[in-house]
Amino acid sequence: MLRLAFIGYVILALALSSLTSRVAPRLPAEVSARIAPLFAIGKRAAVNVRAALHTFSDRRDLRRENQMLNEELAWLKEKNLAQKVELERLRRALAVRETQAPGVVAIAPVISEDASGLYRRLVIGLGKNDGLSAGMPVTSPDGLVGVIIEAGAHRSVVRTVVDPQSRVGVHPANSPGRGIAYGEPPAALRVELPVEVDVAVGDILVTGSLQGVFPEGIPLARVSKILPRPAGALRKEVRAVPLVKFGLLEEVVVLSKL
Amino acid sequence: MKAILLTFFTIILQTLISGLLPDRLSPPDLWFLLVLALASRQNPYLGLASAFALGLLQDLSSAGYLGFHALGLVSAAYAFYGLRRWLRWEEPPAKAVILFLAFLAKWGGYLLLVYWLRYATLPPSTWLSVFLPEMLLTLALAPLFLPLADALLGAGE
Repeated sequence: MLRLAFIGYVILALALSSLTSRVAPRLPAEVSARIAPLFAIGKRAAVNVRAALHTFSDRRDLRRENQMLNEELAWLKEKNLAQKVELERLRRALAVRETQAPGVVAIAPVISEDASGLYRRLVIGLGKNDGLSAGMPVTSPDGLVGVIIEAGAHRSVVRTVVDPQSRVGVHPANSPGRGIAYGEPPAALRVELPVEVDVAVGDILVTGSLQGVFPEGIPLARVSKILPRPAGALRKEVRAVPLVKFGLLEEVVVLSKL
Repeated sequence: MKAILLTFFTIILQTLISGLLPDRLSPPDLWFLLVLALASRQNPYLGLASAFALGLLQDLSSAGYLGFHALGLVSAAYAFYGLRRWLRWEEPPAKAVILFLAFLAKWGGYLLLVYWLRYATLPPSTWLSVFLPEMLLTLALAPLFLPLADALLGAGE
């Protein structure tokens, strides 16, 4: 009898997964956004503990750091004048960029994250009522975070770039050639590039798909390994580490859809 | 009531540990340990139902496919009841063997569902970067979590 009950649960799980993927793909994300506060307590505590540890380790070298900063300050003063000229040039460039790239819609707090190892999703504390909707790119000062896949009234679910269902068009920051970065949880990316692309360990990859979901040129990841290429392979594969530390994210920037 | 409190405590602990660990390290699966702690006190039919319900809750929290974690956890609970007929859960060496084999059963459930949805197995990187650290951390935390669960739930069977 127990075996029959188990088989029943197996069939139920398979049926539920099929229904979710084909009939109601948005349902889990909608519910996840609603129950996020239940899972936010531990996440908030962990962020605070990590931030405290980070601060503590920073302050251990405070004296040495202070001396270095004084030296750096003198150097920076010298550089200041040249920077002002550069600033004017960048302002003009930024004005051009703002007319071509999407604007910032909102800055949202990260209130929860998926605690399992197989998905990598975040819940942020703004939703439809704040102007957010599915498909909006999400970034941070360090780089691309992901994309909103579901927006509730006051919360939204973000699929990060290391989620197994994530696909991001990329190219090396300093050389041409476009490829696709696939999410590999818990914290890596597998990138397929044309064999002609010149890429090395340490290179930065930025977003760069034509008519894609993400704006051009957002930093995404640093190449950590060039994978061996089988004879005759039409693409080269590299492994990359995202520039964003998802565990330390407290706020993200939501951009308007392209 | 005690089981609900333990579930709530486990959720907080799971998210806390996940947040404290480096991004590169896959967290331990306390849901799995919770299911076995409850299963050791419940009759098999209730134990399977609890495992399935907790799996659905985990699916909803992950915004993933419904049934994914549910199938993994119900497989682990079923393996637990099968193994308990041959091994004594109360004895530490037997408990370690049950935990290990039930963990494999959980991933067997994952594999079945992934194959059902995609006609493919999990990529090799998942085994190295998710399965292995999750298993090692889960088994390492079990000697701490299970006595804690015992204390919260009271005496078992």
